[in-house]
Amino acid sequence: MSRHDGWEVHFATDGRDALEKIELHVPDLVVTDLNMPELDGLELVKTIRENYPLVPVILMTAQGSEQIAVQALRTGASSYVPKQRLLGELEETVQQVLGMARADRAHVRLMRRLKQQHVEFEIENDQDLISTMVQFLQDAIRGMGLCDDAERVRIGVALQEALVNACFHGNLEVSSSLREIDHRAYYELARERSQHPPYRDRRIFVSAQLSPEQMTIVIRDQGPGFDPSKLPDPTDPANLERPSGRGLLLMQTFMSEVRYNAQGNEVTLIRRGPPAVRTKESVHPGEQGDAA
Amino acid sequence: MIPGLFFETKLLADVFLVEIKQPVGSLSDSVVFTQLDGVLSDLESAHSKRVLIDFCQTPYFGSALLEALRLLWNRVHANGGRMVLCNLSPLGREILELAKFDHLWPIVTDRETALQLLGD
Repeated sequence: MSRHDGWEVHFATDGRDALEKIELHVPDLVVTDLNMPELDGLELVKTIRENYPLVPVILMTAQGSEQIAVQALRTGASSYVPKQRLLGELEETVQQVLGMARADRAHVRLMRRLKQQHVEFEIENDQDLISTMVQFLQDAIRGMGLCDDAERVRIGVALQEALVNACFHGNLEVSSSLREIDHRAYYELARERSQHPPYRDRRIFVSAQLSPEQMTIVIRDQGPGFDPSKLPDPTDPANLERPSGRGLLLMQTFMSEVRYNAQGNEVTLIRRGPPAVRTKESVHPGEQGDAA
Repeated sequence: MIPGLFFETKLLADVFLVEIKQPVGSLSDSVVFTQLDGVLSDLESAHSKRVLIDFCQTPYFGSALLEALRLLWNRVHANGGRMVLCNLSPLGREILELAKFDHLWPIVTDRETALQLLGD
């Protein structure tokens, strides 16, 4: 790697030393061992993901460390190369990962310049689509720099709650009171209704208006609606062990504003953003850096 | 004991340990509750009255997990048992406190403290 034209390689003795070097000079890519003193490869991947999300990490794995490698990939490592194949595969893997990382950086730079985004979806009562929708909106928020990562997770929790409510309580009309009695019956009824009209044919409509200052998400279902004021207060000690209202509580806590329409089948969630907290990486973009 | 996608259960001496494996938002509600049935079944087989919930692998969760915890607690409480939670992220703790669930169970920083508390 040191001899590769155009690459400047910095070496670190362990994970802690690597972080200190990254702090001084953000690289384009990190290649690391898994087993290291002080801070191991897994911890290093986690820390890099948190503080330098655009810096990809390639792992060098030894025989027998496959399980940890899988864990590291889940944590956010970009790729891995078995140690016995370093000579033949490392360079090619570095080239591939660098190429992908450059595209990611360019995408992030472009998204930071996006002034406004308006998207609309019409989705079935499908929980996979709901989770993917939450991920999509979280990615859009990240791209526009509306808030920091911790706030983005909070917004994701609120959106998930609103969409699940629209599906289960709105379109499928299954009540929390049934879940209180029998959670199996609750999901069985939801499963059954999702296959029969009129519930099956109902859709969830999502409209998202995003700018670097504010996000407004409107979620509408085709159910009969409900009166949110009639939900029991989940924080009242008398209701602590009842299942209702916690989703709405999370939505109200994590968003700047939550309001329902008169029918109760449309919720508007607004998040006003403070100036975005930039990651270390966006302060030191390292667009033309080194491989370390 | 189940090596589940979302919950993993183990017996540590006579303490029934439930590890939350990933944020609930990444799975559908029904998957969580199907897996909860496995946890309840394991709990019944273990005959344990001391339950430890370890959140070390999940930085956040929503109302589906809160509801799963409530259902698990109903079973533990009915058998005269105790439940302690540990290794919560700041956001996870905030969510539990919002729901006032910190009034129901002790929340401690790490597994060792939780095991000591359950042993008292």
